[in-house]
Amino acid sequence: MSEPAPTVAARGTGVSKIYGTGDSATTALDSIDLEIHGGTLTAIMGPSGSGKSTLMHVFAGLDSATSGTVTIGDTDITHLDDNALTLLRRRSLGFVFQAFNLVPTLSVLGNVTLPFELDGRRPSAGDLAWIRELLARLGIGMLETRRPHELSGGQQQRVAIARALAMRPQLIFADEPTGNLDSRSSREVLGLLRDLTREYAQTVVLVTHDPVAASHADRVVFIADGRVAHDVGASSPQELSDIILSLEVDA
Amino acid sequence: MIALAARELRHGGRQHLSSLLVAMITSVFATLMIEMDQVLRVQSIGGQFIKHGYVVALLDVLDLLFFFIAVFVASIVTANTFGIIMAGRAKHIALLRLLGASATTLRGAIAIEGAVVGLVGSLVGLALGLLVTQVAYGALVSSGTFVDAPIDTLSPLLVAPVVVGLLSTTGAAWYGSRRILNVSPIEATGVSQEPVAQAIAEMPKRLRTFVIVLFAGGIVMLVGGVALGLKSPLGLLLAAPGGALSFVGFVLGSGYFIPRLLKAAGRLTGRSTPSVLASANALRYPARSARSTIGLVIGVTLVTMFTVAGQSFLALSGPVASSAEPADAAGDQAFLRLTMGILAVLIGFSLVIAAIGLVNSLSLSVIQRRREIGLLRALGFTKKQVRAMILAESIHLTVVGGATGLILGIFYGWAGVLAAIASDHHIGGFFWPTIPAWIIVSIVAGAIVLAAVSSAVPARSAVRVSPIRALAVD
Repeated sequence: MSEPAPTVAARGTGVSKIYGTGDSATTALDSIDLEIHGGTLTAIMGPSGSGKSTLMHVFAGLDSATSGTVTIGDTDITHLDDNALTLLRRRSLGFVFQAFNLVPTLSVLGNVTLPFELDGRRPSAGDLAWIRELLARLGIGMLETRRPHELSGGQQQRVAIARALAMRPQLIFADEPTGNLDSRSSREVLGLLRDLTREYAQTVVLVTHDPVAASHADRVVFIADGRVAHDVGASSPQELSDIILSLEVDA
Repeated sequence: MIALAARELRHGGRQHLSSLLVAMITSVFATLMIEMDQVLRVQSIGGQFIKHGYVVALLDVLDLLFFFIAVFVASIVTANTFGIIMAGRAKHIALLRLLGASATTLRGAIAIEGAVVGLVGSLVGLALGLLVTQVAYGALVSSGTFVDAPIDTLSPLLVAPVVVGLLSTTGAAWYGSRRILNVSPIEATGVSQEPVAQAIAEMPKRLRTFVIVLFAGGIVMLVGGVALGLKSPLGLLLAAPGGALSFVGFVLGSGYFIPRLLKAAGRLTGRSTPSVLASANALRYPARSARSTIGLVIGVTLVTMFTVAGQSFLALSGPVASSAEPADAAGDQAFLRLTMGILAVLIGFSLVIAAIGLVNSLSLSVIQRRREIGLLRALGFTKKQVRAMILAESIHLTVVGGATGLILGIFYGWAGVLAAIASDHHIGGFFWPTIPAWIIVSIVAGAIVLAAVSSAVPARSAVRVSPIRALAVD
């Protein structure tokens, strides 16, 4: 039984982010070293203001680090200009946000094929077959022509997941993807996210403050005061809650 | 109510810049009109510039007509601006509603904001108009065009521009703020969803019937008038009201016509993603897009109509003139040119106001779409694509405004001049219109400049939107 050596989907080395200068300077990230393994669902947890959102922004090339380097796959994104970062996001990254994931003027299919069309190409027959498979797998196959405002919150999040997977990106960032959902839809969406990670060997980074959400992950990284405070494997919501509480008490 | 209005004016004064500008330009127009009237009276008594009293009377009528058109366009633009401002303030309004402010109170506060903006704009416009009159009059006297007769600058009539500016801006603010009545206090409590995109606006049935009757009836009268005009100059008496009615019908029905035209224009810029999104966006709030464009349609229609009518007449008056005294013919042609020049200036005011309206609604719509633009940026829209999207939207609006105005203007101008002179035995019936190349070139060039200018500012603020914006929950 020899498992293949885990590939590294993203790596941050000595990543710091400091807002402001002088007396008003705030350290959001304090020299963080972190590797995200390929094909896993990694949750980033932390109390409000811990720096977990900043960490995600920097890893996704949405914000630049003050010092340190971030690589996605083999690409060092630390010194890329805006255009190169945009192309990277378009081709190699997927996003699922808490809300406002979809362009209101486009249909479900239009939203999912958007990354292809931004690239100036029609999705090929193969791409479309893959997209249809995804939509069917996510249980929204019959909603293709609907507009976002005609969908429930859970359906909207499924569309966002389909879009994130459509380009088969190297890495998907999900920022509180269930923050706006009721607990049942929330459980369904997270279950799908985890299953798809396995089925299609996708790498997903899930940013959340919710221990129930994070309990779906293969690994949970806790951020507190801009540092990695804990790094644990798959855990129950109870165990994750205890760690979060201990962090809050220490703070 | 007053305190609410005062606070908004103090902190959010910049959003009223365009309404202020519009009120100012309208007031400059009115002031110049009143002053010009004074000047012409003084000059026609004291000098020999314009001999006929009827010329002054005719100009008075046209002045008044075009002033009303300018006020009408200004009111549409200001109402639209306030509507967009309200959409941007929805959350804040919901909070005030939650805390117990009644919708009527809030709407009253907006009307007060409108009144202040209208008053200040009109007063500034009045001062500016008087200044321009003094400078221009001095220059014309010293160049010898006018005799040196003193004019009485401060006429009691000058109260009118201020009163009209105050009332029209207040009214437009009141009308534009009707959305407040639909803001639910609940919107303040949760993460409100993107407002539901409207389908193409359905008009109330009664209004629709009214519009169809006006438009179709007007066209029938116009065509009938032209047919009659081939035999008798009285045709104009039927054609003119017919033309006016059908145009009013078109303006009232713009919420129906314009979105369909915008949809067609959307295909002009191609099938690229920025273009498709821009087209979808121009159709997202059909009523708003229609209001942004209709001012442009009105201005371009009037300019084209008078140019086509005037030029057709000039081109055909050769045979007429050959039968008249040469001196009279030359005098008539000169008078016609002067009148057309003055008309161009008068209509120019409406066009400037319409252009401000377009720039304004485009920038405010970008401000409201920050989150959506952030999402597009996060998904891989480059800055260039964002800029292309805003430019495409601006092109769709200006192309529809310009092309519709051009076609309507040619049609009305031609119909008017046909009805008026086709029965003259020197002309002998039907003729094709004279469409000077310069009017088409200048309208196309104007539209290109307007599309570029009106997208420049919003595009700049749109590319500054960080993709992080899409992740923020506020």
